[in-house]
Amino acid sequence: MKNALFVLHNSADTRSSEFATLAAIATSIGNAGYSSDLLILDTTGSSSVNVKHGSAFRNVTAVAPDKAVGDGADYLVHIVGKAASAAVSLVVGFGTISNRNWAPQVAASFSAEFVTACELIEVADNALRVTGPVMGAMVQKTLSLGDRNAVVLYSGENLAAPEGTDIVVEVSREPAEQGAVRFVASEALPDSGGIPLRGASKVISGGLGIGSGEKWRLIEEFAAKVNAAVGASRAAVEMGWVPSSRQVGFSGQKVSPDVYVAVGISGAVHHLAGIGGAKKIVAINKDPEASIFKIADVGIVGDYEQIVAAAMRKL
Amino acid sequence: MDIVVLIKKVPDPNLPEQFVSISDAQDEVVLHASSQYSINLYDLNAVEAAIGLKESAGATVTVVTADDASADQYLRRALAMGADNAIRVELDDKSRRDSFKTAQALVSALKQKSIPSLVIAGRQSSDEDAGYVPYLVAHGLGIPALAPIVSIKSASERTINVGKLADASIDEYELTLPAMLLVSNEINKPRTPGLKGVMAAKKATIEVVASEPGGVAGVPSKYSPKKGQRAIEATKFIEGSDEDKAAALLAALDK
Repeated sequence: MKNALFVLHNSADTRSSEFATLAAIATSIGNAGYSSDLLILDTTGSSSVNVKHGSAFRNVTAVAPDKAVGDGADYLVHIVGKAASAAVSLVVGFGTISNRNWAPQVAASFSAEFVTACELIEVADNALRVTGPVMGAMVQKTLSLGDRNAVVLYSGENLAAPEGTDIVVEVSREPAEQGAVRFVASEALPDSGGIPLRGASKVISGGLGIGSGEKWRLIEEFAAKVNAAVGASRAAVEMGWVPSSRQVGFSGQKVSPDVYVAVGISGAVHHLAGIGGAKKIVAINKDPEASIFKIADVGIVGDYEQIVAAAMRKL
Repeated sequence: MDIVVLIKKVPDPNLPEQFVSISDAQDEVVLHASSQYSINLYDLNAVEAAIGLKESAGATVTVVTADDASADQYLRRALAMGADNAIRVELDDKSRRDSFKTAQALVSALKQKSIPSLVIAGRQSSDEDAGYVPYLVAHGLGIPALAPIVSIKSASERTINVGKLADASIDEYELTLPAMLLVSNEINKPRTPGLKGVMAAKKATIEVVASEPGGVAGVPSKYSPKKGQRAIEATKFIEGSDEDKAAALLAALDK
């Protein structure tokens, strides 16, 4: 019998698919002899959490800090570190910015394997096998964990919920330690008026083909007009046009919207690695040979400035 | 302030796909002999951040890598940008592929000196994109770590205030030193070294430290080709005027 600890940050942006996916993983690793607990960081301010499919877990606890802790990137180093005592051999969370800070610190303290962008957690020969992309998503890397402890951040597809029931847990206060890392204050990002990328049903993404930081405004304005989240390719982030929290792809976020619009994005492998789950992809590019068209449902060859401007006039 | 910057040589992030293959035993990624390498781009931001602190608050900057002599050119580039010292922790190819062994080699080399007040690294390297080694080093040195850092607001001998990227905000944190910062590209624009710096860096001595990576190792990795691309029946190309294309775009968005 091995113990696993799942960690989820429950905020206003948390989708029910996130609960379902964790419950599905917990159920599947049960076949390799893991008993799973769920630890929820709740920042909604309510006194209890309705944990969808919560019966998939042995124990569910929900904690809230006694003061602001930002996105929990450091708070969870201490909270998960305490909860994942020596008896826990697997910690699972999603590949969010916050988790990418506490998870490797917890892993280091247990000399555990750390997998940043795991897409597949499988049971094989009564043990776990985890797979994720490396080398700009050109190659998949698989680790057979055996008896090794691991901290795994999952960025794979949404999984269907197992059979089970919802449960309600009370939120308990866990004070934030006054340690060496202290949260001071949050400052909104310039584009924070926009819809968060996480869980967005529509995404308008721009790439190098947008051309400049000034022209990037057109992407933001159009996204706002059609109620879509703004996304970006690595190249656009590297140009400094948009914060890296908007990056879609292998080293950024994976998105599974109903509609993904790629504007001025050539379609490098590391970008395509982030949009495989989109239900419909529309690509706008001036180069008819751009590899983005190979995976697009709708292709529009032309000058994005003219096309987007025309679309804005019609709205 | 005594700053250590960790850097890494990586395959060129724009390496063509056909240069990347997998060994028959599936235990390593094999790159074509003519593949180019570069310094990991986030690490240039790390060097720039350290030199910025040196200029604004006063600091000694030591740039460190765990590699063979082929990485000396990247240490020299950091020296040309304004770093004071360079250390190469000699580490064989196989150990370099292991996060645990790499971190152990770096930690034992850093512990031979005094623990630096600040360690700066790139948020992740563009080959594995794991972002684990800096945290293992921080753990080995017994110091806290924070990522991804997008600004340095103020620094003193005892504390540093930084901006950390979150989903929809930039969060300010104060860290008691010593600490590890993993920086993102938003933090600065790395300078291009001047000719004088380049010439001086050519003659600079790189300290070489031997390592005996022991202790924990990672479990063996098995590599396989990337997943197949998203399957589509056919791309429907929209012909006609910009107005027609705009209408098709809005239709796809249910507008």
